[in-house]
Amino acid sequence: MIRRDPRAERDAMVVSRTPRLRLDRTHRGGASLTRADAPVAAPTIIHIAEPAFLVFAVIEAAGGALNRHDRQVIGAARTLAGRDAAVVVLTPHLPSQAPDAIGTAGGDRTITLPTPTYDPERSAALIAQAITDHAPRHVVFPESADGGDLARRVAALTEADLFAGAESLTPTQAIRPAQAGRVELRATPPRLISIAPDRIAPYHGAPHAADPLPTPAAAATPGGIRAATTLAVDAATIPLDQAPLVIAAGNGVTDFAGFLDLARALGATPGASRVVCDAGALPRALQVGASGTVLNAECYIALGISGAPQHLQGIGTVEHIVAINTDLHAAIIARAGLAIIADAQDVMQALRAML
Amino acid sequence: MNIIVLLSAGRDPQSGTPRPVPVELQAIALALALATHLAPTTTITGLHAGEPDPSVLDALGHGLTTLTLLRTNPADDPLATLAAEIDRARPDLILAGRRGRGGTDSGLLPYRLARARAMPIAADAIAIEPDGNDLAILQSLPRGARRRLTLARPAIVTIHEAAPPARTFAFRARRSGTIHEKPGIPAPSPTDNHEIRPYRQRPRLIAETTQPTTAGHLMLAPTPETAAAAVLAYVEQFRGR
Repeated sequence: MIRRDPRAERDAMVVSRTPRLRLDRTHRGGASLTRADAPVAAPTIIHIAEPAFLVFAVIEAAGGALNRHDRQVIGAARTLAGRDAAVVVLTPHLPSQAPDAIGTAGGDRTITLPTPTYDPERSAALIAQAITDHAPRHVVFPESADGGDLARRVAALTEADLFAGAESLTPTQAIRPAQAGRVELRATPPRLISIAPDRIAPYHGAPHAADPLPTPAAAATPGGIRAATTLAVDAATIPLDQAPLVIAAGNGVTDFAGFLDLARALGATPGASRVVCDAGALPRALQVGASGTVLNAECYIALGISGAPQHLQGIGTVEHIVAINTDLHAAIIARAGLAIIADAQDVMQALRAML
Repeated sequence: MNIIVLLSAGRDPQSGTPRPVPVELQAIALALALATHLAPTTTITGLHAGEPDPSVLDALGHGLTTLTLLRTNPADDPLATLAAEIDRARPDLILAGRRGRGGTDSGLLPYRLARARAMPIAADAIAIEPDGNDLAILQSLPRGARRRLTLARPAIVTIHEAAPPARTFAFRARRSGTIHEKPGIPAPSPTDNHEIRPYRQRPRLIAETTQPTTAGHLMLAPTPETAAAAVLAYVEQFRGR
């Protein structure tokens, strides 16, 4: 991004300063433009060479990338570690650019767990072996479906208690709900902790080094889980509040049969704005927004939706938004990661033709 | 086939009165559905270690006919009692809810039991079928995904809330159910230093993305084909997850 520097421009126009300031405004060659992003130095990477103790963060990294919950787990471990201790991130195999992501999220070391397929028994054995090898003070897990399962397996293997679903975490105190959510338990953070989603802030400071550590050596023993296959899901049957990819139609769409066909071809769950549901073009169950469904999607495609405040509430947690709208000044254009000023109906037909 | 359903003392989240844990009632329904596939000799037994809590006895009204009640102090660690009973009953399948509702609610006991008896454990099942000498488990994952597991018998399986609904309560069945009461093994649980306070709602993190993003890519009046290609390139990483 190019930004003007008015002081430098003025200095360039100075002819003489004595006996009085004379500026030559006739030629414009004096305007000096500096690149705003050029002088920003690369942030210094924090190395913790002699850690006081270790904190493990076990992440899922589904699909080879860190999700929000993974970053919160590393953030929680960073909170427990403070400045002097090191966070060791235990991760499945990640693509080559991902160690940077771990360092940015606050990890000082990484241990890659060699589990190419779903094998929680093997993963738990490897993590238990790493705990024996490195004796971390804390091990933080995500309280997600697979992460919570793994945390309990490790707790059973190491015969330790698990502080499950922590909602607040400081170096001196951890808090979790219990007794049907009627009370909360407070304790000094124990060894094994799993953290509930969206409760503990991710790390935002300077990046850490994320140096690789050797993989723990644990003998592979045949487990009780003989086979595991993930089944293909029909996106149209996923409940709207759980769908990872949602495509929604608004007032800019006229061909709704074509819209549903596009959703099917794209593998996205269909949604709609209030206007479309009010008109009866799509069922009320598809409505996205304050009076419809609040989404938890990763990606949202808005076709011909201007983005009323009530609609934006429904997509508040969505990280990646594609907006196709004819109005450059619509609220959703400001919110979108990819904004296209075009007729949604035409783009929809072109998309369908490309799939 | 011999099926045991682990039952825990449940509490209502709002009133705190005894109420069965819904996901354990779903486990009973799943066991009854499984029994229809199998030989008529299949037995389904509820198992609880503790006091005769009304929430546990109410499970008899939701399709369970037999309940084994191992009398221990509710503050005791139930692991040794349950492990001894499993050694005696030798079940082929043990079902449990994924989390309790009324105690510590950590969901750890089935895993400790699996470790103590060297059984495999699978979490979050919504359907169970016999598969030769093994069990075929359908596991519920977030975002509507499903995973099929083959599990060696005997096994422990925890049940997810997305499993088929529980049977409705029948008062006569609740009265006519059989309760076998036995003494359990006293095993004081290690004292934890937890401080108990009334639950306080804490705000969830607000996603950083609720603020308008300025770094977004803007395309002004592109051709429909260019726009569609850009959308596909952007969306590609989220498709087919």
